[in-house]
Amino acid sequence: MKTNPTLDELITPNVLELSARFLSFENTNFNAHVQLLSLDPTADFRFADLSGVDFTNSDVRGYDFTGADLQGATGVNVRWDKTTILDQANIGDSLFSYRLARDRFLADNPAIARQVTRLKNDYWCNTILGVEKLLRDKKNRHGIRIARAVFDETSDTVVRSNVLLFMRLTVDSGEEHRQFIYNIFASHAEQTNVIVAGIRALNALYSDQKANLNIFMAYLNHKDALVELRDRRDLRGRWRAR
Amino acid sequence: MPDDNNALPELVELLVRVSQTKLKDKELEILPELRISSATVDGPDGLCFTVSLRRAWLSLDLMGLETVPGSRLGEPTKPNEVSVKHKTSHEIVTQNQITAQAGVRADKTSANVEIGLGGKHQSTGKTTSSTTSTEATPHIRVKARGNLMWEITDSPLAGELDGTFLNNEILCRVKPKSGANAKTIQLAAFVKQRDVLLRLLKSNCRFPFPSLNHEKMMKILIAKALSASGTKFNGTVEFSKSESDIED
Repeated sequence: MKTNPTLDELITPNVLELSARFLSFENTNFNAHVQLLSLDPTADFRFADLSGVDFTNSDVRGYDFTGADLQGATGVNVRWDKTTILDQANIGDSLFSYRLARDRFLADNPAIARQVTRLKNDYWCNTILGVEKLLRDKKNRHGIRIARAVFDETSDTVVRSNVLLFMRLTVDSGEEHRQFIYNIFASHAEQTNVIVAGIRALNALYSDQKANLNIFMAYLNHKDALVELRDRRDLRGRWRAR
Repeated sequence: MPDDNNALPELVELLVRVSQTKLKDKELEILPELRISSATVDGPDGLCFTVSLRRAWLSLDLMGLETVPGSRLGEPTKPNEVSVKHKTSHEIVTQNQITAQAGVRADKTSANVEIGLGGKHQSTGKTTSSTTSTEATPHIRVKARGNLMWEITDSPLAGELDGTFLNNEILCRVKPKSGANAKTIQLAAFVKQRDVLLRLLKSNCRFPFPSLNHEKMMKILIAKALSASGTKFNGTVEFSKSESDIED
């Protein structure tokens, strides 16, 4: 006599009804999905497949992504911090990769961390020139890392825009640079100048990357006409190229 | 007599038998049968989806016993010797170089930094060194891993697991630890939720999810429903557990 449950018994009518409701739910926001499906951020995302997920306008603080596949996950205006658990997670080419690598690097190199602070606190044009000098110095193998850290630490939009432009001239690792730009969209979504520079860099250098689409789509209806204009132009160019 | 518990035999069935080895008196052989396939669920409004697995794990827990060295199935042993070809060549390449110039004006409101771009032709000598290593590695479907685990995958071309992966083959041999009173063998089959595959079907036709986010979240919802273990879902789904008490 067979007494084992079948798949239909495990996936209850309530789950199926919720699934049907979810599939007709038009909102694509990550947090809205979590709420509708009553998922638990502290447990349900462990070992999950979240590759390519769009985290735009989401708050993932307190989420446990242990062992999850987050490869290519991007987004605009994403809130995450040390309470976001990423142990054993695959974060390649995602919005998370750059910041984690930076924190590890600065913790391992306190002298460089002090140099970053010094540059950040300097007069704005001295900061830009200081970063430019570092990037030109081929012997300084940490120049690009310092430039990125200054970009993050400063709140001056002028400094940020220019540091990003200088980095475009010296970048040699596409993946690393892309991760840095994804982090910009996730963390500095409100700074139009920086966002425009980021969109321009993505389209010019990495137009074949699938993960960019989430970023471009997020800015289609941006309140700032400058961003929207740039974005529409870049999006058209992207699809024409295909 | 083993106690086999299969939460969902349609998808994963694990049956374990333990027998005395013919060679050594006190050694035991663990002989599992593992079948994995896909299953379909029908829901309201013509909703229908197929659940399958990309990767599964077997985890062995021993009490009062230890594994016999060198007896594990699917050991991905690397050959001690491997042939490596080293090739060095010298070539002259002509490359374009982009140079940048910058200057800063003191007035912050009017402009930021002036950037000039210029092109330059340059011929440089370049030494290219390449190392090629040729090694054909067969795909091991049931692969031994550390911590008494086995990873079950199919060849990259197959994608999802479908078939009988173990059919009464010796997973490993075990022997009693000296002075152990109780001796138990526990073998569990589980899946990490990222290895659960979901195909959405409607009227027997595959149709796409509204967005990639919808697809990924649906997978989590279904994996959570499959776990139904009574304990808090932690991202893994335990499909089967078999326990055998060994008597002297």
